[in-house]
Amino acid sequence: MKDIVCMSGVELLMEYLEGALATEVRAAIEAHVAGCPRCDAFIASYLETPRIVREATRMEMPADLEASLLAALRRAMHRHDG
Amino acid sequence: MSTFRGGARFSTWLYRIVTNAGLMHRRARARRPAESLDELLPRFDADGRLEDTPDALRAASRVDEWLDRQVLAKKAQAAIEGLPDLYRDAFVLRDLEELSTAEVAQVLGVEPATVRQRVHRARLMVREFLGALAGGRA
Repeated sequence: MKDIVCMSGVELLMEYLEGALATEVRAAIEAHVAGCPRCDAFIASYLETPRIVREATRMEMPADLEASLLAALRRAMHRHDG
Repeated sequence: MSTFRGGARFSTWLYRIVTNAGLMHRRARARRPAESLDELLPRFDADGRLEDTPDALRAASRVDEWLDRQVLAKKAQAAIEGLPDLYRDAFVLRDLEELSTAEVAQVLGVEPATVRQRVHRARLMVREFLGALAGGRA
C-alpha cells in the first residue's frame, strides 16, 4: 500500500480509532505517527476536542426549573397511581 | 436511556438531553459558504505534511486552560451551531451525548461508516476552531 503521510493519516484517523482499518493500514499509520511530531500533536488535540466541547457546553439546570419539573413529574405520577 | 448513568441526577441528565436536542435542531441562521468551511480544516503542504508547527497543532487541546469557561461555552456552542446540519447531528449524538457509533447510526438511519465520516469532519472543524480560539483568531 501507499505510504501514509500526514494528510492520509488524518483522513483515516476516526476509522483508526474505531478499529475499522485493516491491520497493515493501522501499522502504517502507527509507523508514520511514531516519527511525526506534527501528527502526534494533531492527534492529541483531535482526541481532546470532544471532551473540551462536552465540558464547555454542559449546563446545570436552573434550580427553579428543576423544582417545577420535579413537581410536575410528581403530579403526573400521582395521577397515574391514583 | 442508554446514556443515563446511575450516578447522575435524573434532572441533570434530562436537561442535558433537552439542551443537546436543541443544538441538533437549531439550524444555522447564516450558513457558512463552502470556502469558509474549508478554513476549518487542517492545512497540508504539497507533500501532504501538516503545515502548522506541533505547538500550534496542540493548542486546541489546551484552550480550556487558557480561556474563561463562560467565554469558551459560548464559543463552543457557536462552533457547533455553525457546523453543517449533517455533521452537527452526528457530532452532538456521538461526542456530546456519547452514544456509540452503532447507536448513532441507528438513530440517524445511516451506516456506521457514514457516522464515522460525519463525526470526523465535525471534529476536524471544531478542533480547528478551538485552535483558532487558542491563537486568538476566532
